[in-house]
Amino acid sequence: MKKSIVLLILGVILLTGCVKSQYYWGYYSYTLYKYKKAQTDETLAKHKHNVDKIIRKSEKKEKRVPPGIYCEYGYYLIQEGDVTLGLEYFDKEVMAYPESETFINTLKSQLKLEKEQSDE
Amino acid sequence: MNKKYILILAGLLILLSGCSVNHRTKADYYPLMYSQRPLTILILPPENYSTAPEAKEYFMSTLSETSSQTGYYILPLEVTTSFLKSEGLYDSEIISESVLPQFKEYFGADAVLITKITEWNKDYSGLSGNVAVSLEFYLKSTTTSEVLWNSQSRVEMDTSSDSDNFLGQLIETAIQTATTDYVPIAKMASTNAYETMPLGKYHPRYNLDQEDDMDELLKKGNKKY
Repeated sequence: MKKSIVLLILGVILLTGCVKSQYYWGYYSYTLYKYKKAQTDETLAKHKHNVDKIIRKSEKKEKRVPPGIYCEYGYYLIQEGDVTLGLEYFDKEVMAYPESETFINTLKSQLKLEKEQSDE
Repeated sequence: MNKKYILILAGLLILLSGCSVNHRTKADYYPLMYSQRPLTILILPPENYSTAPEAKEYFMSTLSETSSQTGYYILPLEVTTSFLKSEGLYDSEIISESVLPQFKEYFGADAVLITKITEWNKDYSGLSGNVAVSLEFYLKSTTTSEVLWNSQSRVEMDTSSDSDNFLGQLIETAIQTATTDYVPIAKMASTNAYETMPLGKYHPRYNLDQEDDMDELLKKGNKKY
């Protein structure tokens, strides 16, 4: 009897444990909320740092990086002027989530368009 | 002692079998989700019908995290939103149905999630301090324009009562310092709304939730804090 109770409790812990922690998000919602509240270089830097941390921690734990995170990080890099590295993160998004390919291609052609316009 | 266990067991059995006799399932409620099987979701900028203009951006900052738990590929919200802004589509209230196929073409989205904030109640008095958030969610197919799934939720926290729940205390402190932190409330409201959503490809229970009991899920999604 005791054994089955222990098993039951273990089962419940396992089940509830699985459901919640599908991805590692760190403080994502908080740092983004703070950035929305006061859009400064500092709050943006903090949020970007947290996005980077999500990638590193997820990869370390061999967890799937949450959808959109590689792309968001790449987007910040491109805004800062680091287009080459930014595009690498765009490709990482496609590798992790093939569903993103259409949107990433749209972003890339928009970037190209902007570059052409600034070159003229 | 033994009798007691048998009684409890019998009670449980009745309860369990009671559920299955007349239970309405996710598949009964949202058949289109299982026949169309969307994979990729574009979240449109929330429509804000509350009295708080800042609610739109604040609510959006919590939406990536809660939405990802449903198991769909959620397009990168920060990036898609700034893209939509540059195309003049930030005010999603004005986006007409005829635009839907373009979300498929340029974003690869099988469906768009329309969210409406109907209540975002800020109360800084701290005395009668009720904090409330109400949301409505609609998932629309980009190919057929049909509503595949919809849900609503309301979370209210009474910060004046001497509640011993952790979140209540958290909110209370936030109000006292006059910087109401909506992150936990907004997260809870959307998590509750998502309770009934058929699960997507990246969820461990993908394809295993058709028979889930809707009455149970609706109850879970309506819990009060």
